[in-house]
Amino acid sequence: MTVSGLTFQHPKSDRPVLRDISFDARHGAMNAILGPNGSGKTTLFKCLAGLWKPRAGTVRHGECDILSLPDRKRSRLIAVVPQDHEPPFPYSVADVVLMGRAVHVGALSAPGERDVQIAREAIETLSLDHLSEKSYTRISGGERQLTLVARALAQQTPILLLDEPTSHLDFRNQLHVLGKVREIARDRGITVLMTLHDPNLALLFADHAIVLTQGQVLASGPPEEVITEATLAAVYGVDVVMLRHNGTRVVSPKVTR
Amino acid sequence: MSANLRVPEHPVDTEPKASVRAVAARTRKKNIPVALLILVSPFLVAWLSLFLGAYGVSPGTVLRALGGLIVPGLNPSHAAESSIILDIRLPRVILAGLVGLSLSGSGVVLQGVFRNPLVDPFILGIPAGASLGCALSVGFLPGWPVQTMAFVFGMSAVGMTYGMAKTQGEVSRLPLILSGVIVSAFFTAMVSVIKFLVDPNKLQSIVFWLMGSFSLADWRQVRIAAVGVVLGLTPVVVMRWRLNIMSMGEDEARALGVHVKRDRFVFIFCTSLAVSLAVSVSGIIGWVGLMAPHLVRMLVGPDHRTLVPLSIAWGAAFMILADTIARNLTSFDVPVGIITALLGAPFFVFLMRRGGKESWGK
Amino acid sequence: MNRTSGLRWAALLVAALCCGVAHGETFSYTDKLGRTVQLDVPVKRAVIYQLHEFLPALKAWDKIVGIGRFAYQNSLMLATKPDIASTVPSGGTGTDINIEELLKVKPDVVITWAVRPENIRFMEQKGLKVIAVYPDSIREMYDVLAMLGKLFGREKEAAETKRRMDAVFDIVRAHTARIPANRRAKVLWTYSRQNSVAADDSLSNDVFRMIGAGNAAGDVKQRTVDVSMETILNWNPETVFVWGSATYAAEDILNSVQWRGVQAVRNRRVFKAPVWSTWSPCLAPIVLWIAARTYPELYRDVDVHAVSDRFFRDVYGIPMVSPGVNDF
Repeated sequence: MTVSGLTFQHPKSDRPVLRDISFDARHGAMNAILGPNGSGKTTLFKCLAGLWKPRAGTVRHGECDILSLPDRKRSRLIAVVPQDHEPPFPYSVADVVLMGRAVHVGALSAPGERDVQIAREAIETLSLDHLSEKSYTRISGGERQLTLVARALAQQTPILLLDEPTSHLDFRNQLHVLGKVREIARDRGITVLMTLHDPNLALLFADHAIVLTQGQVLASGPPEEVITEATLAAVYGVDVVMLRHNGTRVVSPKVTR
Repeated sequence: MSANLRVPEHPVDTEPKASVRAVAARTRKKNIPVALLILVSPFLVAWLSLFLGAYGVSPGTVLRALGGLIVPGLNPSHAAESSIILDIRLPRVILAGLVGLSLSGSGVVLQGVFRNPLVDPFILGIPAGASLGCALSVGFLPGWPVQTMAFVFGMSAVGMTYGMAKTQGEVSRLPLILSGVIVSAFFTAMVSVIKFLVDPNKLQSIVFWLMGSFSLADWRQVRIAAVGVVLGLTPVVVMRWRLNIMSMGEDEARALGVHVKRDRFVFIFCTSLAVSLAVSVSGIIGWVGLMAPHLVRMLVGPDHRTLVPLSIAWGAAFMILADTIARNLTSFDVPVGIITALLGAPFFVFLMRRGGKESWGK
Repeated sequence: MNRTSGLRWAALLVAALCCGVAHGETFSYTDKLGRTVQLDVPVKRAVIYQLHEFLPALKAWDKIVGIGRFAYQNSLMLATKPDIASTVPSGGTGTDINIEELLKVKPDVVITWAVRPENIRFMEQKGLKVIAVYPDSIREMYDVLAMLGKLFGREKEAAETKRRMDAVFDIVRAHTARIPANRRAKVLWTYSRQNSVAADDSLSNDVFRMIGAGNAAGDVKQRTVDVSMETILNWNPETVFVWGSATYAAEDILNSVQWRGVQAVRNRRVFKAPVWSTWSPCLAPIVLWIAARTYPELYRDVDVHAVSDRFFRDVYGIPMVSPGVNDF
């Protein structure tokens, strides 16, 4: 997927939130969009998900520009995994995952055997079988996030878009969810694009990173090259030190006790 | 490091088809007897109601009258008594069922559209509109039948609500609810003005109509209500699975490929049609549209594929039950809205205390 | 004492009595809510919300400074006092009162109906004298009539009106005496809806008793009540009367599929009553009309139309005002 020249401005405002954003998202890989609050991460996410209309720019996937597609066609290309939220009714995990089939089921029909099967397979892939009948509102945050990933998987799209999937998760679940998502990206050749706030998670899991600052792309490329002391200082205004251990790289902020 | 991170995997069934069936079985197993009972309840209640009434009719006569519908000639010349059954009781029971299911079916759909289990089918202003239609007809335009006016103004009220809620081409739920409140208040105020201007004799007619009753149910009203059910509820029953998705949130539903604007319009229009027609023949009967879907959701869960048909079934059963009590409790007809409230509230409290909190999503 | 001083005392006493009569007496009346009201009569300024059809009979227009709003649309009022809208100010209605308007008019007495005791208490607190009425029987109707006569200094006219009403009632009573006890007809009176009937309504029951009929809905202990069609079929009244101001016609009942099992419908004995008010001298001709419809053979010797027309001329000085029914 290639984003070119994406520009977004609120109708009432005189300054663009996103300016000429361009980057590539690797196929079959985990692409992370990093940036502080206010860098335009959320706006970029909403533009890609089709919720907000950008002033200019294209998002190409193969032959077509996703931005110019009507909602239904877009839903066949991009599946969105939102942040966790509480739905008003306690659907079962299986019911929630089945919702991912909506774009393939006509308005006047209900899901058929095949849809149920695909949903079932998505649940299995995410190792959620034991939770299948449980109420979505009663499982843990990590399990809920995985359910939403399974739903997106059931949608059977080449692109998966995730919005800060780790922001409400505890330490273990952050690693668990990102691990699973990367597995899916690699095993199924899906383009995964996610916004992240934690540079360390990007270093651990991302195959490709895009750093945003003030509505523009500062750098994009492999995480080791892009997430450096210099870029982090420039973007976050925080002094960090890069630690290396057995091939793993971690950033640690310079905080004096 | 990341490659080593694994959650214990559970064994995957090798037979995908079998596991689908297993999933289905697990979901519905505990609910199937309840679901079947709910589905059958309206017919059971209707059947029993046909044997009860102020005019004592022997069970044999009831059976013969009903049988005579199917097999002509089965019903000999007890003309007066079979008229009770065929011209009075049967249309009344059927009308109560149709109105009950219209209200309950619309209630459950709107609860999904508005993502709130506390929504009832009157939220968009239909009763206020219908009241105005009735008041205008009785007070100033006697040539225009009350039922037609009630229906037209009921639909107009929803139209106004929908139009008012349109901001920048978007119609979302909070503006809709607010508009509904405003439109209702406005129409109700106009009804009060008319009640004030009209002489007390006509005032009685308006007040009585508003109270809601099946006392004068006849086959013509049954036909009208049936139109509402067929035209209004069939589309929403067919589209009921989409309610699952719409109830997750607008943005999410759009991302999942659901045409939210169009689907929401269809749901609102169809339910309004059904409710307006129901209200135009029976007056305003509350509580059923709110409580019946709630109860069913507590018993069988929120998946609209089962919830919608079962809400419809239970709405019919409940209304028939309430009306049968209303007309047999004392020597006069108690307004059916009182019975629905008296029956519904305690039962509801009982279910809630039994741990029905799940239905609230908590 | 000697003769002259005795005479002087007698003269003084007579003078005092005459003065008392000329300046008005104090009239004490206990109204429907059990309140005792004391007034100097005759009153000079009265606001009257109910019972206004008695006014033309009592010729008391000069005492009225406010009348209920609906009087302006009343055909009897318009016939007896065509300029009513311009000569008699409106007092609003008896249920929604504008206290400032009322006080501005400075009434000596306000006559209203007893359904809103809180209104009456309110008016009392503001210093008004209020009489609450709700005649529930013919006797109470006469009582109220006498009260109005006393209030307006029209005792003679009140007594005359009562006499004329009694004359009509006597016709009915005479015929009723001829009805054997076991041949009392069962009658039903319907209001704004076909299934909304007069049950334990004393005035209706008084009327039914006078004409020698029984109320089919007699065993229900409420004034007006909604019943199911099956109950009506159970009761099976012989004659059905529809309230004159109902929005449906007698034909609606006669042609209804659901009513066809009722004997009143089978025998085509469903009638819409005249639109006249029952809290009025018109009660007398209404009763005669109901009686004649209930027992048509019995009243063959009475020309109801002529009697009613005579009544209107005697009491109101005008020919009979259209009753709103064709077959009167």
